[in-house]
Amino acid sequence: MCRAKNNMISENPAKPRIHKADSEEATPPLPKNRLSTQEAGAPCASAVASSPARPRPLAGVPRARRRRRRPGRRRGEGRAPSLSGPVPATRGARPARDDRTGGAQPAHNHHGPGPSPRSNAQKRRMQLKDRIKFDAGTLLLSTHRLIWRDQKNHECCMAILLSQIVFIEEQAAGIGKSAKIVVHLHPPPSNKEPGPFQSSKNSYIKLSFKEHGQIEFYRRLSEEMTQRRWENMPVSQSMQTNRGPQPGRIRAVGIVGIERKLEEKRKETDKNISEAKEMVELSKSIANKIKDKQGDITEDETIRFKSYLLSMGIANPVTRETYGSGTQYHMQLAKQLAGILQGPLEERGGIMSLTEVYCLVNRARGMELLSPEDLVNACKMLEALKLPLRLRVFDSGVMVIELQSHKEEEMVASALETVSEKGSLTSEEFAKLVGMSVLLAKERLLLAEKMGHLCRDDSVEGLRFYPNLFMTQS
Amino acid sequence: MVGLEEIGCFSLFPASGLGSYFCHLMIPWWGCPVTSSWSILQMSKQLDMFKTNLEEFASKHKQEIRKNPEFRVQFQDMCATIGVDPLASGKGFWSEMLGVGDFYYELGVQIIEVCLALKHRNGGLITLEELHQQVLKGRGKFAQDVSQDDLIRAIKKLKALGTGFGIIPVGGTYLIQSVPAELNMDHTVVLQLAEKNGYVTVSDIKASLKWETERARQVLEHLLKEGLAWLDLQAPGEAHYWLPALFTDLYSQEITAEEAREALP
Repeated sequence: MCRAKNNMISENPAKPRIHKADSEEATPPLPKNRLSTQEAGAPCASAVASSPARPRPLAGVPRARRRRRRPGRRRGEGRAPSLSGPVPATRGARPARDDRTGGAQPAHNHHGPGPSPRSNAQKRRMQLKDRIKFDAGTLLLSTHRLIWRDQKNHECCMAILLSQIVFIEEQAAGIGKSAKIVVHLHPPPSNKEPGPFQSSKNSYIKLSFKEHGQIEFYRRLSEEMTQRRWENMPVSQSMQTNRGPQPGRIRAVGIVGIERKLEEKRKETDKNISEAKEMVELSKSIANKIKDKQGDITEDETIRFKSYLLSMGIANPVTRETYGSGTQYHMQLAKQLAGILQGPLEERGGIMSLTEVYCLVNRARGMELLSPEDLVNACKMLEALKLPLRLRVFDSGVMVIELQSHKEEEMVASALETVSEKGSLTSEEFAKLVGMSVLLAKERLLLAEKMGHLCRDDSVEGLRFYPNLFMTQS
Repeated sequence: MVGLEEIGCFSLFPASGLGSYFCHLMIPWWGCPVTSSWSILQMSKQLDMFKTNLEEFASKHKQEIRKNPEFRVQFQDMCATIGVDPLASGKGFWSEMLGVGDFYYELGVQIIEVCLALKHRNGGLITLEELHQQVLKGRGKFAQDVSQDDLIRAIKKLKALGTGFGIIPVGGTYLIQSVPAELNMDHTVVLQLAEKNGYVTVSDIKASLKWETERARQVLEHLLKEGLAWLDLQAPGEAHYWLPALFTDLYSQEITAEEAREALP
């Protein structure tokens, strides 16, 4: 079925796909909750996104059958999950294959005459045949009909009137099987149109949703069944074929697909995670308590609490003077960093931007990488732990690690010399001369300016620094 | 807690772990109200339970998180709903059990490298698409798939490093800023305007945004100064300000110096 491209930012127009079912396809992108009405007279054709092929013309009361991926056994061997009472044998619907109906259904509970004796091999062959026939397609819902279009064979299109439906139910997905909607039907009318099968022992069809969408579809279908709009709107006989492709729709379709999957996954994982929510609330209340009454709780407990917060990934509002926002982990990390960075810092003239440090350290580690926040928190503790490195934040917000022995102010003096030699320099030129990154070069020049040694010339051509002659020659 | 402190009982149990435990035992005896110590104990119990749940979740979904970008999006949204940030620390539960952390942190490193490599050309501004392309190229064929959403999340984390990573929405996409250039709203609006053609002129700005000449010129000059825009004085009519960040294959092509020399008369 259609696999909607997974992110909304980029589009991949190269492969337009007909998205799985939904009346939204009938008209250009609709807000999610509105069922698009396919007015009478514009059924099938308008519903399909971009396929140029034409469906079979449907006139009158189509009694075609819909089939989906899960092929059933040929005759009378499907299971009718929850129909009460026996159901007469001739049905328009084709049974879905059914070994592993949701939940426990051990008994072979079909209606109609007993299972026809067939060899397993025969059954498998038939299943395979059916599978090939009605395997992949798009299911579309209109106000009057349920339509199925074959994705591969564009000539093949089947529809069933909604008025034929008795009721519908959901079957959850399980291991090895996809979620299904079971549609129970009335007996076929005598004037039914020819369809894939003339008759069937079963009174229901199963729609198998291999790539999700069943939650939304079930909801829409139930809505339609409740509203019964087909009773108010007469079906006109005119058929509109040949609607051109409507590429604008594809994007909405992708988003809808994602939203569906989201909803589904959320259902699944919600129960796992609802406990987490409680815990987060609890931790937040503790954090507030700590903030308010800092005397009540000991240092150790605060540290422990912070490590809980850290492992949960909750933003930590508590700061203490001794350790800042760090924890045991960050302290150890800081000591490690001091060891790792000593060499590289000396190579680079005693100063490195935090971005460089991040790349260096993570590349060296290979696994169990540091998050940017871990790095920053660890670096904040460097000075407190009396390690030979320190974190420095420039006015512009740029953060660097420098050796304790590195005195930026001294470097400024040499920068002044360099600039004076050349008359004037931009940060790029300076960086090239000295052999450091442009970012740090700029910071050094700005610092020199702040200390009064340099003047700036700010123009369209860039920022250029000159020795501050006002100071030296006044 | 106050009662216990006064009596000095707490000082009898210096070890922090034990301290809370005994505090917990003492509460019913002294009839103290629930204190934060008690809450912490309760929380640590809940934490253990949560850990077990998370392990179960991880065993079910770990592979999916690694391989499926869509699932990653949902997972992140779920965490946002709860109020936790799974990428906050490499030492967190999420990182350790699900391996989400490593994926994003490594992506962060790759993003930094790509931005650095292309900075000389685009001044530190790059479209999300191009970044995506370059990162995928760098990762190679056999690496896990990376979606644009993954990139955005990784970049959001990189902001903590203080070197000016930012995300600017333009048109239907985003521009990623990797240098600490000051870009205020005026600048971003002009970037959005330029996205259509890859360049912008003063008259374009005046026509669509209804600004005065001076305001438009100031913005363009700032972009020029920061290296984000290139000035084209040979364009027909007035000067064009091109934004290399917005160059796409649609109307630009990378050629070598020799090819350029051959092409020009």
